[in-house]
Amino acid sequence: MKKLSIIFCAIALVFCCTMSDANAAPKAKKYTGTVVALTDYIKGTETLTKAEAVEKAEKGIPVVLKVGTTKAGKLYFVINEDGSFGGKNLAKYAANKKVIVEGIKKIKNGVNYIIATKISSGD
Amino acid sequence: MKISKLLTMGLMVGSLGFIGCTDDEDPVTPTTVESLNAPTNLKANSKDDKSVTLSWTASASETNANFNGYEIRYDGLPYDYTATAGNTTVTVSGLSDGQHVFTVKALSKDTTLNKNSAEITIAWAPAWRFTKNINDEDIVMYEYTSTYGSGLNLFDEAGEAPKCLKVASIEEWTVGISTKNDGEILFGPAAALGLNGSDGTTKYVQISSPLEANSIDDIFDSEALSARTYLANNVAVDLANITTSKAGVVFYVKETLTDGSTRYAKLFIYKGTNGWLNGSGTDEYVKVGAISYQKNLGLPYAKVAAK
Repeated sequence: MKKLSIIFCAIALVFCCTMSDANAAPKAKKYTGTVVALTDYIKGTETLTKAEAVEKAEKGIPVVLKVGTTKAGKLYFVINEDGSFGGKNLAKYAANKKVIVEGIKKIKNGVNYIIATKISSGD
Repeated sequence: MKISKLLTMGLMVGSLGFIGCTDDEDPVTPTTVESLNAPTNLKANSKDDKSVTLSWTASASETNANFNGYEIRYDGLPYDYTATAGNTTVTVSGLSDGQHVFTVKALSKDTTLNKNSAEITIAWAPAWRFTKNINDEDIVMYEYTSTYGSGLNLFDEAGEAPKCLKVASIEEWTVGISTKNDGEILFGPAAALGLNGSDGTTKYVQISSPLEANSIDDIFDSEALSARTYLANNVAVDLANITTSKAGVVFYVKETLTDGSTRYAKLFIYKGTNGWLNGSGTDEYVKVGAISYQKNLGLPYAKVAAK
């Protein structure tokens, strides 16, 4: 009987913890990468100056975060907290060797994006 | 007969009168038109990459009735501006990159005297002025405990602006801060800050002693920047020991490249209302209000020569 009680308590505890995690808001994490223009990335030419990045972002060409050093690094669209596209803010960091985007990662319809709370230099 | 006598008498009286009139007039004394004194103490300050501000001490002839303002020339060409009496600064704009020669002289209303009147000359160059870093943010250097950078590369080639850097990139620093020791806010070249992470290769940079100022625009120069006194490469200045009633301090920065050529800059550091460190928590920072950075090696170089 005692054993059953202990097992029951343990299951209840695990269940509570799981529920608590499920209800908790996802925590912001830091994603370090480089700034690339989506069109350049598709063409395989990733070198981008700050001026070029800002110009592309102004023209509406998506400027995104590439995480990972390999050629096939993972791409993240950066979204501002107000829901607007964060390409213009990200473009300012194109001259940095590393840029850190702090925020919550989400995936929708196979598209990775980060709701950014802060963008900073990683250099 | 009477008529001839009358005429003779008339002539005599007339002659006397004429002589009398001549005697009554003031003697004609030739007036000496003095040439005007040149202004003195001409100084320059690079305002941005196309402008230089000049400042001088007024000519002693400003009170002279013939004084007609100051003529400003650069590279021998007249600048389309004449400073009036009491006006002793001018910003010459529209300059190309590199060194220019500026001349100021007092003008006389007697234009024949102006050609050879005394003038004062200085050679100077415009310099890039930065108030934001490569990410269009304020230029700051974070304290030791921060996860952000404590160092600055005064000019990052890729971003064409100053860049904030972490200790891991200390070899790229021109200057930086260290708050590693309690109470200290060391500012200086990387080699002077005793920070870990350096592989031993740091830029050869020297800074001057601080000059109190409210803005980088306050600091004019009349001597060659190479003639200034710089501290050794391994010497930093503790900002915590600087007390000033002004908004901050200006440091001159001299970087010697591996080929021996030199590059100069000026940097204005704000003193906040609560001291040199701004912000809170582990991300306190020293704010750099402006950087005047000369891209051309060896410039700006001030040289004053009286004519």
